[in-house]
Amino acid sequence: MIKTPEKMCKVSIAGSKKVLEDTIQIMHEKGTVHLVDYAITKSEKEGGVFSIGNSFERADDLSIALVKARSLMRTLGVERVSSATSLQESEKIVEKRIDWLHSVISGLLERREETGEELRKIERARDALHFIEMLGVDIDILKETEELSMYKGFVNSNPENVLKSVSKKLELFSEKVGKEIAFVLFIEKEKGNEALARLKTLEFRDIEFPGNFEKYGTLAKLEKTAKSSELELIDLQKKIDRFRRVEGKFLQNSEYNLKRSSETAEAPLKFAVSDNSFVVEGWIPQRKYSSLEKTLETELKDRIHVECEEASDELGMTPPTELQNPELINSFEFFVDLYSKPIYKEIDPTNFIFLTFPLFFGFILGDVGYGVITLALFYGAKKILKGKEAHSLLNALMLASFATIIFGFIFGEFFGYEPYHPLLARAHEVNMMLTISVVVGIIHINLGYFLGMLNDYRQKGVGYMIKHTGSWLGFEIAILLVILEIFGKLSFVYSTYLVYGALAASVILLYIGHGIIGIIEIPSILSNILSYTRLFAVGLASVALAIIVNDFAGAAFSSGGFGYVTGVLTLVVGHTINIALGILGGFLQSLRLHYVEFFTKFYKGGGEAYLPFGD
Amino acid sequence: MAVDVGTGLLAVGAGLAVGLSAVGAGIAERSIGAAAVGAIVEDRKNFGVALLFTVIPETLVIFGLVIAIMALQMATA
Repeated sequence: MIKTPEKMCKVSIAGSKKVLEDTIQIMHEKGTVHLVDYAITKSEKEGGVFSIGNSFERADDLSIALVKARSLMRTLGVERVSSATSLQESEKIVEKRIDWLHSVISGLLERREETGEELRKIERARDALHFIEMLGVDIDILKETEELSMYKGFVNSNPENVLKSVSKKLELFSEKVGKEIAFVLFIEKEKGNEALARLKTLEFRDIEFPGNFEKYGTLAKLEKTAKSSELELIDLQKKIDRFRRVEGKFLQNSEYNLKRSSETAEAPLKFAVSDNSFVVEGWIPQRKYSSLEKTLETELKDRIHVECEEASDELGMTPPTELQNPELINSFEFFVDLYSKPIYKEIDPTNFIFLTFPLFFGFILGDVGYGVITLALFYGAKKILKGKEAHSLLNALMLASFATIIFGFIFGEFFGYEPYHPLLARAHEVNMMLTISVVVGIIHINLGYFLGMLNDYRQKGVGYMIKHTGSWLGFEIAILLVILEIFGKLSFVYSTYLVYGALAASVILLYIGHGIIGIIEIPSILSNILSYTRLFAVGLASVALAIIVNDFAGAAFSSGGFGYVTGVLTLVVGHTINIALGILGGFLQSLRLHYVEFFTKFYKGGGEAYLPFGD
Repeated sequence: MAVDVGTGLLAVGAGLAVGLSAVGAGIAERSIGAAAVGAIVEDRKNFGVALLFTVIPETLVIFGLVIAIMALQMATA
C-alpha cells in the first residue's frame, strides 16, 4: 500500500576509449541507464585530464538525414512510429536514399506549387479574355495612348447618350450581359475625368485585367492550357501519393532507426573523456543492474570497469524517480505528475489517490443517470483521443464514473428523480451528509499526517518526525482531550491541569517544529476539515439544479401540445449543462481536496523523471 | 406562499452568506488566477501548483454555502 519510487543505484562505468562505442551500444540496447551529464569542475578545467566528450563523426550526417526524413514524413502525411524493425541496408545507403527522395519529392512539390499558381493566373485571365471576346475588340488596341483615355467595365444602362454629351470624340464598344452592360470606351484625354464622373452615376464597375494575360491568346486556347495544367496537377498529386504509399513504411522505419542511431552518436556529450579513457555515470534500477553488468563484462572483458553504489543521503545524491504501480492504478500517476513527481525517498501518493479520488468524485456527482452518461462520454473520448496522458486521465475519470453510479444507487438518484426510497437522501438529510463529509475530512487529513510522519522518519529520523508532523498530530489529540474535558467526560484527578498542560505543550511543540508560522497556521486545521463539506455542498447544488430542470420540464409537459417540445428541450439542455458543471466541479473539487488538504500534510514532490538512455 | 418575517430574514441571510462569500472568493481568485496563468505560460509543469493556488479561496464559498444551508434548515424547521 505505502510505496516509494523504484530503488536506484548509481552506476559508474570507466574504460578504455577503444571500447567507448561498444559501451554506448550495449547501454543503448539495454535501455536501463538514466545518464547523468558530466559536470566539469573548476579544478578539472585548469589542467585536469577529463573533458566533455565529442559526439561521433557520423552524428552530423545522421541528424541531417533525420531532419530530412521528418520533413518528408510531414509533407507526405506519414505518421511517426514508436517501434520498428531494424534497417535492412547500411546507414549510408539509407541516408543516400532519403537524400534522393527528398530532392525528388521537393521537385514534385515545387512543380505542384507552380502549377497551382498557373491555374490561379488562368482563372483571372479567363474573365479578361471572356470580356474582350464578348465585345469583339482586338487585344492589341486595348491600350491608353497620349491622346486617348480608356475605360472598361460594367454599367447598369447604355452609356452612349450620357457620354455623347461629354464629347463627340469617342469610340464605344458595348454589349448587354444579363442586367448589366459591358463596355470599352476610348475618349480624348482632356474629357477623361468628366466621362468617368458620368460613368459613376451609372454604377460603373471596373474590370481589372491581370498582367501579361495576352499570352494565353484566345479563350479557346486558354481553356486548352487550363485543361493540361489541371491534368498535370492531378498527375503530380498521383505521383506524390504513390511516394506516400511506396515509401511511407521505409520512411517510418528509417526515422525510428536514425533517431536511435543519432542518440548513440551524440551520447559521448554526456561522458567524461581523457586521451585514452572515459568515465560515465548514471542511475539504474537496482534489479536491472546485474544484467547490465554481466553483459558489459562478458562483451568487453577487462577493458572496462563497472560498479554500482546504492543511493544514500550523505553524498547529496538525487536519484531520478520511477513510480512502480500496477496497471489501472498507474493511470492515477497522471495526477501525481500534474502536481510534481515525488523525490526519490518520498512516499508515492498514487495509491491513495486511486482509492479516494473516484470516491470523492462519485460522492459529489452521485447520480445513476449522470454516471452512465459520463462513463459513455469518457469511453468515447478514449476511443478518439490518442496519447498516454489523455488515456490515463480518461481511465481515472471512467473509474470515477463507476463510483458516481454506485453513489447514485445509494442516494437513489436518476437524473435528479428519486424513483425509490434511498439509503441516504442527500437532498433531505443535510445534517447526515454534513457529518459524513466532516468525518471523511478528519480521516483523510489524519491519513495525510500519518504519511507525513512516515516521510519524516524515513528522510530525517524520529526527532524530526516528532517536531515536524508529529506536532500537528499532538495538537489534534490535545484539542480532542480539551473537548472531552469541557463535556465532562474526563473525571480523574487533576484532569483539567493535565489536559490544558497537554494543549500548551503541543502548541510549544508546534512552535519548535514550524516557528511562528506553526502558531499562525493553527486555525487552518479547522478550515481544512470544514473544507471537506464541499463534498456534499457541491453535490447538493448539482441535485438542486437537476430538480429545478425536472420541475420546469414537468410544468411544460403538463401544458400539453407545444409544451412537449419545450419540455424535452429543457430536459436536454438543462441536464447537459448540469452534467458539464458536475464533471468540472467533481473533478476540480476532488483534485483540490487531494492537492490542498491532503498533499500539504506529507507531500512535497520535485523529483526528476527517470528517462533511461535508449528506451 | 406567505412566510413570516423571521423566515424571510433567514432566507435573506442565506442569500447573503453565499453571495458575499462568492464575491470575496472572486476578489481573491482574480489576481491569483492572473499570476497562475502567467506561471503556466512560462512553464507547463507549473499547472498542478498553479491550479492548487487558484482554488484555495474557493473554500470561502463552500463555508458560505454551508452556512446558507444551515440557515435554510432553520427556516424550514
